[in-house]
Amino acid sequence: MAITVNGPVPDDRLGIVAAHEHLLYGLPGWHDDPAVLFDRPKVFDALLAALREFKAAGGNSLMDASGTLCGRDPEFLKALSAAAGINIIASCGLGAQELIPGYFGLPLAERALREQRRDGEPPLWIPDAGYIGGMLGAEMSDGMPMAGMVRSRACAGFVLCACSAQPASEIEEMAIRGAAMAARRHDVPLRLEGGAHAPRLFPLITAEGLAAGRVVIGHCDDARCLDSARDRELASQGAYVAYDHVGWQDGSPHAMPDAQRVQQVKDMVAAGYAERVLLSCGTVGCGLGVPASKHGVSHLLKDFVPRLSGAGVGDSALHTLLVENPRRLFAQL
Amino acid sequence: MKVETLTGPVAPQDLGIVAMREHLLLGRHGWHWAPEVRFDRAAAFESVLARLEAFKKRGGGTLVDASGITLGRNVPFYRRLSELSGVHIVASTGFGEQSSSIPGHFLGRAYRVSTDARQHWVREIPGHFYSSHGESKEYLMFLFYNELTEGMAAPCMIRTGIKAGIVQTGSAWDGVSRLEEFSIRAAAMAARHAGVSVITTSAGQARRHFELLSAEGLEAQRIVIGHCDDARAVDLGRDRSFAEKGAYVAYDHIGWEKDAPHAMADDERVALVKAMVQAGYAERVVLSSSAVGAAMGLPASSHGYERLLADFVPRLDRAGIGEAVLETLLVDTPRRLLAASQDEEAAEQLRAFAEGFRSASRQQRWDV
Amino acid sequence: MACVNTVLGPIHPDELGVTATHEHILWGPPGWEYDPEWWFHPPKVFAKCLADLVEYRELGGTTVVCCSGIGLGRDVELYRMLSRYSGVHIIAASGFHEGRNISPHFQDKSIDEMAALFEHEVSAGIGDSGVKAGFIKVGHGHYDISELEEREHRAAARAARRTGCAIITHGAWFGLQELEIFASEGLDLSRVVVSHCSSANVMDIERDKAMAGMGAFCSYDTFTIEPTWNVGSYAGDDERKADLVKAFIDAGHIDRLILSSDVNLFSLGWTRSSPYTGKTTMADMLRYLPGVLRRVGISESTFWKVMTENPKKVLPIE
Repeated sequence: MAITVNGPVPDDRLGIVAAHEHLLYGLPGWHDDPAVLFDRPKVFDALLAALREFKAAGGNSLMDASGTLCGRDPEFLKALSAAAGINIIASCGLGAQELIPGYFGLPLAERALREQRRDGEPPLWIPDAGYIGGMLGAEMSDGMPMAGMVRSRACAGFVLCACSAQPASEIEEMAIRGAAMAARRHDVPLRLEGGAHAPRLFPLITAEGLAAGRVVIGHCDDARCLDSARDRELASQGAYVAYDHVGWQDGSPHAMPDAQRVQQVKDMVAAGYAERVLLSCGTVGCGLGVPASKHGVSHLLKDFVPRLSGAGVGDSALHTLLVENPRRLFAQL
Repeated sequence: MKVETLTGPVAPQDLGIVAMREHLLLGRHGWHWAPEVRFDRAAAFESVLARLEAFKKRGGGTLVDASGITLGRNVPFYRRLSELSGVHIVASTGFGEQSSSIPGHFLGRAYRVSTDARQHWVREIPGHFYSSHGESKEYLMFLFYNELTEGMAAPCMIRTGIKAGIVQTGSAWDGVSRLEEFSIRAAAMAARHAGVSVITTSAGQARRHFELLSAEGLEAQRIVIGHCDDARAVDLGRDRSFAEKGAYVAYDHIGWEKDAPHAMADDERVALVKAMVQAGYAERVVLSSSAVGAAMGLPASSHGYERLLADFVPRLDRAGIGEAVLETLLVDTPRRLLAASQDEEAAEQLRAFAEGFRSASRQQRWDV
Repeated sequence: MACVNTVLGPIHPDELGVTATHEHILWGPPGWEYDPEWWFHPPKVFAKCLADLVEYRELGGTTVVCCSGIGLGRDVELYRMLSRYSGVHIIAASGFHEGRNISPHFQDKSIDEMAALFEHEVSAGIGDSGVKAGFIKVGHGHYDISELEEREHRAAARAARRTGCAIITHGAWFGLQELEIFASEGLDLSRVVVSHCSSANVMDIERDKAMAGMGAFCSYDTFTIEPTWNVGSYAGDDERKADLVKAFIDAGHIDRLILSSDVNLFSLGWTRSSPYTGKTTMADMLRYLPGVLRRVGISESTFWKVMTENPKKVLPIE
């Protein structure tokens, strides 16, 4: 079962799933910047068109990876999903250090300062992994919070976490462990952003009791840290490896030509790990203070899939990659 | 005996020269929703202050603002103007003509009586809420009385501790509507109980206004019939008959010499004053100019408050009106009109009545 | 590109969801603020309205259209906060009401002056608030359409043509005459919602069918659990009103049907003195109306469909 913004959908009805996209994306605080204009009706219209194009190309579901903090608007997603006829599975989670707002980091900084100076009042409150896990869990069971202290009727359907450096900072580690706890308690997938630190963090996640088959290691097609041995190792442990920035071919440090991604997929299939690979484009449909991606969510089906076919990836393998793997990610284990 | 002003009670002998009827701000209810009315608050403050300072410089001491409850009165704004200019300002409560000064809330007649259920509902509500309190002079009386004794209302739902010192009342030019009649009667009752005077807003129905005010027991010495210098209704006979009864007449549109249907040349006003003085009624006349400090959506006046003293008084002087009469017109008579009389017994009776009135109405109240 | 003006900014028409098209959050005739007998403590009223809207949302409601026009209790700052803290979209009105409730300042305005005011509120904003009105409200009294009210109607039609917004009227008793006035100003009548077609003493299915035939929407919006303070004119058995709705649907006009409950969450001034005011909210409509309609053969899914699809036909501004 997958929890979409409009309610649960059986995993065998998800169809073709784009496993990592951003419909709305902005860094926390974007709404306080008067230079960032969110023309709501216009953006809705444009995203609706993009989703309808995705649907016409055969797409049926989409996982939105904006997490709790990066521009997600639950009611907007609900309406968009209903209007487009596309399942949208939203995510919760805090993300990498630089995205986590001061609210969570401040108590830890205060405590560190106090220890350094050996004086001062202890912070009134310190977050911990359990607290974060509880917060994220409520997003999945009760509904995602919106501005104005309102809880949307839409629930999140998977959990995000990330790490920006080695070692993970204290708050990042709490966020990762909290995410893992929440994912286990609610039996939903967890996406760890970035292959670079995955080998080190994967055991941390599974130590919280989350099954490997619920873990997606995202952005393994990051040009800065390609590592096929790592990908095979994670796959052999039962996790999913996601090549989910299809279409990001230039203009960013992580970008690389899609032809290289085709090779990555082929290599994993050849190594017997077809059932461990997820594909997506990581598009930014509407950037709030950040640029939108040049390509749209249909790029996966209209451009990349023909390339894969052309490179000899058969229909049955394609079906596994686009339908079976996501289905299994959400299905009863 | 004191006079309630924007800056607190003032002894009557400290009022000095009084302009009995002016407007600091003037606008009809609703002006604040009109985007074409640009109320630049700071600029308006400066311009009204300038007019007040000019008035003071010419010897003016006190000014009565005639805007009543709904024609643009702004209590904190007026208070500050009074503090800075040194001019005493007496604010008024009351309504004027229905079409320009009584908003829908007070006009409400809920709905036609048409079904049994409706009649049943009406019966359950205490008398003063019958369909609307526009049906009740007592309701309107308390509206005005509370402003005279507790303090004036200000946006948003604030009861200031600053009391009004006089009651405005009036009607349309060509008739007195049902609601206007209740309003006039209520003005009389409020003034009587609070010991203050009533000034009417227009002369078209002057006799009817006087009848209604007197019918509610307001003594003639507390009644000022306003705008007797309206070009459309000049009538010395009428003015003398009011004076004979002990009431007052106001020639209060000095300076409005053109561009309005009521306008007339100031020299004609001089003639009116002279005629009343010669008939022995110098003590029954008050003067003013109904100048507007800042107007919101209505015509401003080209003249300011000082015109009364800078221009009209010299004309009176040239017409042979002596110092003593001028003193009567500008100082003594207004002082008598504005000094509130204390009547503890009447006030006590009213308090008792008010208690009964309010506790009945509170039964219908929500806890908000 | 079509959008709907809410107090928190424009939204796409597909975000409207279940919409109560004729309601009031605050309502009261202008001048209530001068009557201290009826003053209230704003936090308590805010809390009451917020609770009502949250309940509406929990029962499936998404949007509320507040039909309180200029001076009729509309408080856009309060509405913004209520919308933000309840998660319910709120649409505010421009326009007035019956002539008696048009403030003195506006009574002498020409048709074009009033039209400019309405147009400004819909396209530029209400006062300095930055909030754009979503439509124009007009009204008339019980006995006739006065000269002032006709000016108001013509002004609304001109502003509606220029901005593309809808007009929601107050009262069906002169519905056909109102539509004639709008049509004579060149307004497309499918931009008009004629309200209170279910008023007890003016029920007239033939009139409603004629108006629907001209393209206008008929709003059956006086459904309540108990009689409201509008007892004499509006209320009557919900069953009789349901029959009317059924007849309207059977005559083939389901796509012109608007359903609502015309509650005031809080009435201002003496209008609050009615023992019946404020006992119901728009949440009660969602709770009870499906059952009332089902008893005359209108399915619950039809109710939700009408509540979602029809407001979407009339409220968006191109």
